Amino acid sequence: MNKENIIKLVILLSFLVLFLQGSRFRSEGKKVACSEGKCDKPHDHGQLNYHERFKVTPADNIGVATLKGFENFWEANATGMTFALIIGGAALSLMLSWKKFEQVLAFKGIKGAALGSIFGMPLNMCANCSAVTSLTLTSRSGSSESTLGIILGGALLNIIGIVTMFGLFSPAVVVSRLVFSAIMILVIVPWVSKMVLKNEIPPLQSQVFDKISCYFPEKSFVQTIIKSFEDWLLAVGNMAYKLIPLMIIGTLVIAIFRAFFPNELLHQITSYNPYVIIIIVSFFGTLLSVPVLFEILLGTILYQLGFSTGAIAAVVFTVPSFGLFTLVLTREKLGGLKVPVILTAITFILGIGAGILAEILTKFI
Amino acid sequence: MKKTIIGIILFLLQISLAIYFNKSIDLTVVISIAVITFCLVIYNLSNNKYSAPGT
Repeated sequence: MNKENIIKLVILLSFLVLFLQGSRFRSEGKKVACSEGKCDKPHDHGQLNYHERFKVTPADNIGVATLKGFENFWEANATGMTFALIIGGAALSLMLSWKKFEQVLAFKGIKGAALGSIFGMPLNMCANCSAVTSLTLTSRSGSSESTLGIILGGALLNIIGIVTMFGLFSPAVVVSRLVFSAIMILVIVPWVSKMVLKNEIPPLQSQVFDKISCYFPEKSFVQTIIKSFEDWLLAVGNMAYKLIPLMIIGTLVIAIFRAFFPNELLHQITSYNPYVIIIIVSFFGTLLSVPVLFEILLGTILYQLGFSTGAIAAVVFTVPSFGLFTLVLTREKLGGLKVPVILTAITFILGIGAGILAEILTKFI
Repeated sequence: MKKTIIGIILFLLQISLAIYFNKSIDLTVVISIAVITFCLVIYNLSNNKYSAPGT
């Protein structure tokens, strides 16, 4: 490992620590307080995040509700998505100059998915933001398993989220989420990645990337630091050009979905059969994308409305998992719409499975 | 390179928006580094440092 790679690794870790200490842990602490009912403004929780600038009301028409939802979602994800680009760019810059890291990201099968999810875990990001990091990191090379592993590891294996859920819900909900997260990452991701191989498009080629991977041993320590920051910004710029328009489209799709399916719809199904509720909630949760830990608040809303453990398990599994936003972002990397749509459908089916498992476990735990 | 420069400008706009929304110190640190580095990139670009060999 040469000094350029060491400096780039230090830059990557510094950005991650800066993000976690400066924003993320504080924000997650506030969200946990909200979920536990210790919030200063409990009636101010919105459609897509805990506290929103524009409140969407039933009086709003579809256009206004979409615009408000778009702004709320963009604002809720602003820090996470910006750091996703920053961290992803630093990781891409490191990967382009450190061949061993590139080889690790190229692992396929269960190994690739498991390693990807381990890389995703410390990000503390929702699937939306971890998708931006993952696609930036694996834009030049990297297997589909690694790409999806990072996305799902970041979203489903969030330690703070899991610990919070233990305090709020029945253990059946948490066990169900962990079991189905493992199935999603270790079974489904390797399986759907095999479908990508047939259609896989060539990796992104850019002349700018060729300027990142060159190492000049004669450069001094300070010159190498400056060159490393330059490489980082070029990697970020290259991916921002590609991903920011997609992020806007993804956000718009979510805002339109939320305008048609607001949270209030859940209030109307409380008297339905528990298994029908699990199916409806899984459908709703699969197509919904929310910022990190908001699935827990949605779970507590269901709990307060008197929904069964199964419905809560379905929502806390499907909401943070693969959804509409990630579908828009991963389309190109996964060789077209086929695999992202299959993944979305599987998320829906596994959500039902998670709900049924939680219902069964409730009888024993 | 043109697309990368547009991408960097988009990124700087995004980071500015995030700072406006959340007023976070961490992003202020990153934008300071990014702006200084962007000036360096523009300087190198004006000196044809990013031109392909032979052009």
